[in-house]
Order: sequence, then structure tokens, then C-alpha cells
Amino acid sequence: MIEPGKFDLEGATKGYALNRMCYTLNNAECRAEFAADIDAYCSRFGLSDEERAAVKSRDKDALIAVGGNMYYFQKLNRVKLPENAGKGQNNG
Amino acid sequence: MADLVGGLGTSHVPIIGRTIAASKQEEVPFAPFFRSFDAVHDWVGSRRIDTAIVVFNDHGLNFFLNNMPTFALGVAPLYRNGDEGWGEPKPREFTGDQELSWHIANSLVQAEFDIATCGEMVLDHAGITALDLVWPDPETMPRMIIPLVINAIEPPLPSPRRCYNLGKAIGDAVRSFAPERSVFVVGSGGLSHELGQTGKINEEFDRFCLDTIVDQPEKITGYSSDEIVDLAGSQGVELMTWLVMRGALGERPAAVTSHYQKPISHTGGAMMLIEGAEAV
Repeated sequence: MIEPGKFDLEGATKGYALNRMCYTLNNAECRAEFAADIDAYCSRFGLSDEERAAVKSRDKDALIAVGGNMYYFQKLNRVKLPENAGKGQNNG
Repeated sequence: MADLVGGLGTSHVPIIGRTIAASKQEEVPFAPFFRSFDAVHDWVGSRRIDTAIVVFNDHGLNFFLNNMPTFALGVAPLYRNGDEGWGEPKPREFTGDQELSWHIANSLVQAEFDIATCGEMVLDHAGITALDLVWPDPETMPRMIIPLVINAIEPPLPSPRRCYNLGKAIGDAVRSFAPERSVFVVGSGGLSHELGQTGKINEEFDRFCLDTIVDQPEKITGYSSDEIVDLAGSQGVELMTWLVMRGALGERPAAVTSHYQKPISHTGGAMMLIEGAEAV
């Protein structure tokens, strides 16, 4: 099991594409593209089905389990999604 | 000669910055946290401070996993803030103390701390919130800043002892800088974080840190990074920024004021102002 904040090989090697996608969400244009079509945006970064499901769920434990780093995936909660307004906690 | 006049550790959770931006410091449940800075404002207001070294951890703004420095020192002439995902912030600019930052960079590498130097760096809420808490009036802010980013986000993370010793080396570097400079160090982060599976607010540990960091920092530096994660949560390792600050102040500094506030958002909130020992 990946424990955030502690080193292990699984934590170090999993989730790179997911984190890379989340890192782009610092950019307003990227956030708009993500919000417009999450699947297309995830595909562009080569996310697996498991990673994609975690992204859509915005569930912290699911994101950690696929290798998401909190400091990057926290940015998911900052994207305004019309159909999901208010979903997720924004404790950044 | 340059002198290190003091240092301050503070929490930086985003709600603190949002509260300042909305001028609602008196209306929030953690209003006493803001009031505790009155004593800090009196202290810094009665001293000349030329440069603030701001120690914080990046929040996925400057650095991605393609290139993740353990210690990254700003050596830029100018710093700006940036969009962390919430939208473009009100633009801020901070002048860098380029002369002192390169002196510190060179001193650190000579002392075998092989830091990364950053000719560009964007400040996130961690750096800026701390500055705004200490100097709420931009007119009174130190003329110059030097940002130092500690990796607290992607393991392997530097140990508490390593961070404390880095701070000591920074203190030595500042004190060996020939030009006149009055320097203050801010450590921004922590303390314990409530994060569901990966952390709980731990008031006992937070208070232990406040009680020991001035006179017995070795009680904190005796822990491993993993043990800090167990005690304070996976983001509680932001405590490393306080250890760098404390290390820079050298031998026998003195606590001036401190405050503990639980919770601020999902964290154990804390502030501590420490006066540097008189120059030998």
C-alpha cells in the first residue's frame, strides 16, 4: 500500500501520467479543456482506465492508490465542472 | 556585516490567505491566530529588516516530478506569484536579494549542501501567506526576499536533522556576508495535518514541537522523516521549514511569542517568533 510522505518503489513509480496531467491544471486553458471533456484530456496524457476512474471520482484514497500525489491531484478540486458544482472538498 | 535578527514559523493553509484577501480576519473561528501576530508586528516594526529568507515547500507549482530538487534556492532578481489552479491571482512582485542569495548558494555548496539554484521561481500561497502575515502592509515589507524550497511533497524527503543542519549552514553563510544586511528567516508550513487515511491533527506533537524547537531542537531532529509522517500526517513534514528556520538562528536564540490554534482548516495551526542570539 502506498503511504504518502514515505518512500517506496511502488509510490515512486506509479501515477506519473496522472500527476503530470494534474500539474497542467495550473493553467486556465488546460482547466477549461479538462472540464470540457475529461476523457479526451485523460487520453491525451495516456491515463489508464483505473487512473481515469480515480480522476472522475475525485476520491482521495482512490487517487493515492493509483499513485497520485496530493500536491498535484488537489488541483482537480479547483477545476469548475458545471455538472459537479461544489463536488469535492477544496482543502488545498 | 550581515546579521540574522530573528525568525518565525507559521502555518500557511490556503484559508489563511483567503481570509486575508477578504479582510475577514476578525470574523473567522481562528481569529485569535491573526491577533497573535500583533506582537510580531510590534517586533518587526521596531527593527530594520532588509531581506526575508522564506522557506516553504512547493505546492505543485514550480516543480514537477520530471525534475524534483530536494533543496532549491531562488537566485532571481524578481519573483512573482502564479496560478495554482484557483485562477490567476492578483499580481504580486517581490525583489530578490540576488547578491546575498548567490553568496548563500556558494557557501552552501562549499559546505557540502549541493542545492539547486533557481534563476526563476514562482511563489505560491505558502511563501506569500507567510510574508503577508508578518508584514500585512506591503509598504513595510522587507525590500528583498530569498525563497528556499524544501521537498516535502515527493519521497524520498530530507530528514529533520538534514533540514536543521541546512538551516545552520544558511545562518553561517548569512553571518559571513560582508555587506550590511539585516536578515529575517520565515519557515512556512505545518503543523500536523488532518488528511483522512494519511494524517490526523496531533495537538500533543504540535505542542511538543513548539515547546522544544527553541532550546532542544535535537528532540525533533531525532525523529526520522517517516516518523514525522506518522506523528503529523503526510503533509505535516512541512515542519521541516521550521527546522531550517530554527537552524539558521544558531545557538541560544530566544522565543518572543507563539500561538497554537486548532483547527485552522484541516491543520494544527501555529506561529512562533524567535529572536536571534546577538552577534558574537
